[in-house]
Amino acid sequence: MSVSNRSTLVLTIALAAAQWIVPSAARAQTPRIRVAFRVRASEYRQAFSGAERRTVEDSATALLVQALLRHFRFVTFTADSADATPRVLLVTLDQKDRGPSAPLGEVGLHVLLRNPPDSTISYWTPYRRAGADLDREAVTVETFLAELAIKLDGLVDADWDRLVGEHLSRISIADTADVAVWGSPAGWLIPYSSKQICIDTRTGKLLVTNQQITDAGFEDRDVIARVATFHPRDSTTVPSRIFTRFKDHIHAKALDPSGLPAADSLRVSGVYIVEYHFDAVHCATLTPPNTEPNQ
Amino acid sequence: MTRSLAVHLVCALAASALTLPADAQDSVAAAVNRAQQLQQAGSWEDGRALLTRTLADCSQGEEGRGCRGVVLSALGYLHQRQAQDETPDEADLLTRAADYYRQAILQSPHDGASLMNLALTYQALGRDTDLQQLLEAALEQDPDHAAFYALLLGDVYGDQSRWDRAVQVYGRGIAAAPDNEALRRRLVDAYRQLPPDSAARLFRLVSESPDWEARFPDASARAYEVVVSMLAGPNREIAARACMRWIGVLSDAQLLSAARLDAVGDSWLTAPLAELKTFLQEPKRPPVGSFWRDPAGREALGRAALELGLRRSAAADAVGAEMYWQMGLRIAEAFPEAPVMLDLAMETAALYQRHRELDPDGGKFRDIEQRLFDQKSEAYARADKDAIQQLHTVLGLIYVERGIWRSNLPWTNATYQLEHALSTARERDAASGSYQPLPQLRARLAQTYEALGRTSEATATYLTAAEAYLDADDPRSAQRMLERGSAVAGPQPEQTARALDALIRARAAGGPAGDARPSLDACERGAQHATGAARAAGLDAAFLKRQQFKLLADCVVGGNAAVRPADAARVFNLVATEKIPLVGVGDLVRLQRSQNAVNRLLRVSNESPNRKPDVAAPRREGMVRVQLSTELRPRYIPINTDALVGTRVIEHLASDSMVRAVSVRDGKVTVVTNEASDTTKQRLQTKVQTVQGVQSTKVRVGSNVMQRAPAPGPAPVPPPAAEDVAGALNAVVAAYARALESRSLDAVRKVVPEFDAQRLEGLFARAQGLTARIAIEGFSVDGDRANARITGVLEYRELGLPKRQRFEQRAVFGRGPNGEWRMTSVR
Repeated sequence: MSVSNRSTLVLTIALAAAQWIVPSAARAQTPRIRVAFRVRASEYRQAFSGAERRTVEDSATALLVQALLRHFRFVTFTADSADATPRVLLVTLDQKDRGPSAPLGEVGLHVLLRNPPDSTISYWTPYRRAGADLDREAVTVETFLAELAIKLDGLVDADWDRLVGEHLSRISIADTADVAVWGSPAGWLIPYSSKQICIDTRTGKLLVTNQQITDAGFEDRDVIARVATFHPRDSTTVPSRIFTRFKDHIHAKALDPSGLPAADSLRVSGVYIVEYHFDAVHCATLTPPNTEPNQ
Repeated sequence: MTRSLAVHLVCALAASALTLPADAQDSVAAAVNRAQQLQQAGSWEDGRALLTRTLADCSQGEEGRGCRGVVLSALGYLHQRQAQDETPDEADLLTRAADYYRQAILQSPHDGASLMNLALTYQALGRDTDLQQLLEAALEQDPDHAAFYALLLGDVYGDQSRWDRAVQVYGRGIAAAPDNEALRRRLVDAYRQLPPDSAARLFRLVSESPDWEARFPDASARAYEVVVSMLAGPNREIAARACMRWIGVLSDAQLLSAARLDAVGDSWLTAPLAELKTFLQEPKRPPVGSFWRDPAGREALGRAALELGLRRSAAADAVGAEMYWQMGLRIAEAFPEAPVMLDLAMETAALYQRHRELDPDGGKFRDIEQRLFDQKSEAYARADKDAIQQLHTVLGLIYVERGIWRSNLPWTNATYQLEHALSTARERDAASGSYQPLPQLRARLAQTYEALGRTSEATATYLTAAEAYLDADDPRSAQRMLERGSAVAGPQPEQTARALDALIRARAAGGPAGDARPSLDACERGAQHATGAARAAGLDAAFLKRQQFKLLADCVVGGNAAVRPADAARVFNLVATEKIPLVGVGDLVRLQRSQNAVNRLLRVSNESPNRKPDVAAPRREGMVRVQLSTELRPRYIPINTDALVGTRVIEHLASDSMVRAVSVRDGKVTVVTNEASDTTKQRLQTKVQTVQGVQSTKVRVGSNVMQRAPAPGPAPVPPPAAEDVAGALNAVVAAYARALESRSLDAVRKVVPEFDAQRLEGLFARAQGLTARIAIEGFSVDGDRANARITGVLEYRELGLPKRQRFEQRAVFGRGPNGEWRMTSVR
């Protein structure tokens, strides 16, 4: 690229970026979801008294929140039933076939996400296989919770993928006013660093929904993007407000940038994580030092 | 007094306490703990000052090495933690942390905490060259955390586009930590960067290992995606096979979606995948192209139909489910019948049972029955025992519900199906060493016999149902079974029934009712007594062993009375060393309660309780098997080696009330007591030294270690979904490597009876300082036998010169008497 071409490009990018209000530098908050667990399968309901069931449901909610917090950082979870968030993840233990009561059928965890104005429901993961014994008299609060804990600990990536694919990917992770569209081809600067939300940048994918301004008005423009880090080699090519605000933050780059319109013709309407794996390296917990000297 | 002054005073008191006469190492531990408390309160400078003073107090020379290692590591940790909180000084603090860690590693080269934290520090500082060198060394120096280092090192190689090295190191990490899913994902992604023909290797790796698809469907599906994408040109035959498996895995894992299918954009697959995408929406329009016509294609489509039907069923759309399953049956039943036929038939039959409105005259159910039994021998030949057991169970229970006790055809009735469900369960248990109690199936079979007037079979089956209910921790139902059996048999209860009755009463009593707990001896005597009559009546020895465990555990850790850690250690050791299979979640709770009590005394180093489970793998010695009634296959809970050693020590020191804590690291045991006499110390040291697995022992007088954070100890690591065969085989191979390093033919013989002794003798005679690194490249399991291809590198000095020798061997494994894997030969 010749010097003059590069200068033109830099100018174009700068102009494109300058047309947007750069979001405030305040630390963005990830969306909050209230979690609730309910026992609906009739055999399990009959195994517990009313008070026991409430204990089971409260404790199981706490177990779920722990498990969810261990695996996801792009949303936060709370078990607090008084929390005012409109988003609710309701996990229900029920027979898989939601039809008539069937004591022989598989029982598992169903998930309903209320994310106003939408709701999504799906079958998440099996809890008890079809035809398996359920001995109501042997089920106690303690054994039920022990079994649930072991089930949740044993979930694999495929189980978490389903939760993301069918539910959590429906929640926009950022206030659209906090996202900047910048560069050519257009990229999206997200108000989190990859470390903040612990996303594995090698596999993570975002869906950015936009409205493209056209001569005829607006047109929806959805883009699947990979996760990169905004770390321009030459900071002078970037408006300082953008550089300061988004340095080391996520730079979402379209998987297929061909035909992407200019940044200044796009209005972001939502940013969704459609593929997520916890980054076990960058978000690794430090190991406390030993207190016993080597012998 | 101002707060700051108060903090300084507390700190000064703590520091002065450290210089008091107690034991120097106690002071070190106290200082490190105190420094961490100060860090948590944000008093970084006070923590730093305390540790710096403690460092100065460490002895000079070799004897102070351990002390210096601990304190330097703690200083590194303090700076690293502070860097996380104080971002403006982050780089400076991290640089200082790195310096401290490096010095700590010079003192203690195998200290996992320092090595791992230094790696994270280098990474945060972007010191890639240092990071790479550190990780390459750490893989050798601290193999317990090989997975952690391999993940980072593979990423470093990946950043340098050295993808072949990345593949190697990820593979090494997987061998060290077979449960680590992140490593498998990384391995697959690294293959994407290699030349296309290497994808055939990835295909073999994933498709030939029983672990990948069964336990890591997400990584397996990614692998097949890579294979399909990369081999579309050079090797279309493998690509087509990978595509079929990809569809199957996505279906089984409930991940089949149009978006996922779009991940493969090759033109030759466009038409078949477009057909499949249509099928996702429209059950009446299955793919019909030639691509899908071979057996593998029909199996893949059948699995897709099964999953799509299950989705409809979960969404309360029984009609949609029926359409998919009927279509799946049509696809699967063509000759040769696809194995998925069994699952489809089972789901469809159960659907008609649940939704009678879909089959008002029972004709559809009979049709499924007919088709199933017409071809069942073929299905049997191909399908696995899990599916067969489940099929018989579901059909048996349907026949029970319909009251079909006998039939013209011998197999279309409850008796036949339940008998076969139970006999298949027995076969599976015999093959895998598992135990499924299945009380409700037994109860229903007994009920069936009774309805048919087969009195003696009914009586015997009621008794086995009673035993099974005891295994499932339900004495009340056991009692009911016993009463039903007695009612069928007549007024005179036989000896077995009387013995069972006594056992049921003992079990029903549960743990101690009040605040007082009997002594361990009393508990053991009680358990012996309760099972005595049953033993005399000739009840199964394995059953009685399980009951004895439950009785003992309930007495020792059940109820609300305080639990004595040493007694709890006895319960834990009973499970871990005598390999008592845990049956049902009740046993899991018994184990957890005993672990909790043991953890009041036990500390096991070098594991962070908050670490995400897939980052660092603990040292493992054994697995505890748990059969939950809700699952077909047993789960395996790995036990940390040091925790096991520590628990044995605690049990062994039960009579020594002055023991306040036991800590174990790499088999090195430190016993903390509240008594300082040399005689006591010597006696304890001698006593501990006799415990299996103890490498060395130290006894010191200590502060109250028990008040610190709970030990990570033997708390169960999240268990794998199925038996961790790879993990077990890797452990055997690791033992083989250690035996080679010992350069002793006897040591090798203990691991593997059949090997080329002559060749090894020659090697051992000339090799000095031999180290062996061995990994499993691939393996297959056939019942109780496994075959593996192992590759390795031997490094040694010969006549003073360094030598490096690569080798590849074929290893055969078999099960030992307790179900554990053993190497039987290596060629």
